[in-house]
Amino acid sequence: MIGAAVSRAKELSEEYNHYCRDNTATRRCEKELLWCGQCFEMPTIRVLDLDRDIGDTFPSGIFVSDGAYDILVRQDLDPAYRRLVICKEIFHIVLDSPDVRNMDIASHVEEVVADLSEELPRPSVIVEFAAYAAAMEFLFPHAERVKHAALGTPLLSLAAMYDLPVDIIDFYMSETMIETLDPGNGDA
Amino acid sequence: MNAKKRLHDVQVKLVARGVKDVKFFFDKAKLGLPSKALEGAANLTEAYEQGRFSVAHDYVKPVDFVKPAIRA
Repeated sequence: MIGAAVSRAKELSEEYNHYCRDNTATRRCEKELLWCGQCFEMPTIRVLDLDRDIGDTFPSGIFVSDGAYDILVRQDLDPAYRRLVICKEIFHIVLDSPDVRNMDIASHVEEVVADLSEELPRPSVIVEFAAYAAAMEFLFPHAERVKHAALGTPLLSLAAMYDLPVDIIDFYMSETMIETLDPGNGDA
Repeated sequence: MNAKKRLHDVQVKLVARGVKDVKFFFDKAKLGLPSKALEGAANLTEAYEQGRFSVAHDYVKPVDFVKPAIRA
């Protein structure tokens, strides 16, 4: 599923490159990805700000109904994180199908945060990681990660170039993640 | 009320409204523990069910994009 998600991200990147005026910039724009998604994938996507105080312990997320998708983002998120979150949720929309849904919300949350599960995760859990990997393929393609790993480009420079959180850059530049998401790797 | 009970209660209301799926992006620094993640998920889903949000108008239309024709 993750390999298919990354492939879909590449296809959407081609559409983005075709229609986005500033398609040579390393910083890719989530607003334009959203526009691509609305034009090519599904009819209704709303980005919603949580604008009333519900404390500081809540995630961002996406709520899926028939033909309509609501992306909720924390208003106080760091802009780089906000962009990543919105891209990740857009790829949830791209990857959405009845097979990857789970409306038992508590079970879903427990399965997602359980790092050491010995059982094969359900599709509803795998798709969380697939959407993340697809968002990263769009924002910082694997081929460019490999290139910068060979060049030894500092993580802070990459974070500035691609406008991504440095801890996310660090994670996706690790040898394990570069190998895991290698298109030639059958597990990717 | 604990987070699982809150999630179950709000889940029933969301399903009745036609919501088919919910996915999350967790800030692991704040919500990395299962108990914290459940609490955060309950806060978010309750806020959504209660309509406690506003549309982010800056996402309505990008400025540097040539709109393609919508496919049939």
